[in-house]
Amino acid sequence: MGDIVKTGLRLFMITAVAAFALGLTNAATASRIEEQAIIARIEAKSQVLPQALDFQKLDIKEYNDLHPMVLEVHEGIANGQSEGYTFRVLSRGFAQMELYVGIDASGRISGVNVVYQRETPGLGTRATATAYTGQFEGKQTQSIFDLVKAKPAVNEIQAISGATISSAAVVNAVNAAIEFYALLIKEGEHNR
Amino acid sequence: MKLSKVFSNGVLNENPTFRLVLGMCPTLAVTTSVASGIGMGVATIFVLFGSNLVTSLLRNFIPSKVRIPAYIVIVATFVTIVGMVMQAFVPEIYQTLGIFIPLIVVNCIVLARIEIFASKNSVAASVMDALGMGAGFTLALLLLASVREILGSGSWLGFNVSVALFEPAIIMLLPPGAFIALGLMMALLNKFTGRVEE
Repeated sequence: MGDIVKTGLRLFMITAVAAFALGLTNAATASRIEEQAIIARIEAKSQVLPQALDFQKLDIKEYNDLHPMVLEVHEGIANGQSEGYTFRVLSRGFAQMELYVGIDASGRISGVNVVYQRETPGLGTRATATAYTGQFEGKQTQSIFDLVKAKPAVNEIQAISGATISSAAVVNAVNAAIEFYALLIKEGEHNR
Repeated sequence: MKLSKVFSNGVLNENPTFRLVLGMCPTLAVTTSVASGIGMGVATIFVLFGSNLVTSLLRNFIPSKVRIPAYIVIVATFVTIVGMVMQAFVPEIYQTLGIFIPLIVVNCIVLARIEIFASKNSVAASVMDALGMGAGFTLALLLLASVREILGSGSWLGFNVSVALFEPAIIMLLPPGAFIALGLMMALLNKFTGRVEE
C-alpha cells in the first residue's frame, strides 16, 4: 500500500512540474504565435495585391452560404481608387490550407499566397511554393482554371507530379475566389 | 567510457539510423528535402538533450514500476516546448515540418536512449550520449535527404544542381524512393566499414 502511494506521488510530482513548465512556455509564446499569424496575413494581402496601399474589409455575410470557402474579402485601395480585391480562402489538400488570392482592377490574378498548410514536406509543399503559385499570375479570370498534367494552355495550371491533391487544393481555392469575384462585379454593376 | 567515446559512439558505431535502425518513421518521412531533414535533426537533438538530462538527474527518483509513463511525460513536455518555441520564432520551418514535430514524442530513438542510457548513467555522460545520438541522427538525415533531393527534385537545399543533366525522378521523393535510398546507403556503409557478417 505504502509503495503505491509513494509511486503515485512521485509520478504526480513529475507531471505537475511538466505542466508548470508547459504553462510557462505557453505564456511566453502564445502572444507571439498569434502575432506571427496576424503579420503573415497582413503581408500575404500586400503580396497578392502589391498595388494597393490600404485594405478595406467588405461585409460578405450574405454570401457565406453560397461560397463557404471564401472567409474574408478586402478591397485594395491606392490614392482613393480601387485596385482590386484580395480573398482569404480556406481549401483542403491532405489537410486544411489557407490562402490569399489577389485579383487586380483589370480582372487578372495578381498573386496567390499560401499562409497555412500541412501538406507532405518536400512533396505536397511544392504546390504551395512560388514556383507553382506563380503560374496563376497575370491570368484572366473570365473562367475558372483546370488542372492538367501536360503542358498547360491558357486557362490551365500544370500540377506538380506526385502532388496532385495538393496542387488541386490551390486551384480550387483560386477558382472559389474567381467565382466570388464574378459575383462582386455583377453586384457592383447592379448597384450602379 | 570516456565522454568523447560516448559522443563518437552515437555518431558512428551506434548511429541511430544506419546501425540501430531506430526512428525510421520520421527518417523516411522528412528526408524529401535537405531543409526539413536538418530542421527535424535539430529539433530531435534538443528533445534528446532535454529528456536525457532530466531523466539522468531523476534516475534515482523515478520509481521503476512507472518509469515508462514518467519518460513519456518528460519527452512530451520537451516536444511541446520545441513546437511552441518554433511556432513563435521560426514559423517558416515549423510550417515545413508540420505534423512531424509532435511525432518526435513517439520517435523510438528518444525513448531508447532514456531507457538504455540516461536511466543508468551520470548526467555528463547522458548529455554526451544525447548530443552524439542527435548528431548521428542529423547526419544520417542530411545524407539521406541530400541523395533524395538531388535525385528527386534536382536541387540541394533549394538550389538547382541538376544543371539540366538529368530529369529528376519523382519516385525518389515518394515512400519507395525513401526505402531504396536508405537500403542502398546502409549496404554501402556496411561494405566500407567491414561490418558485413560472414
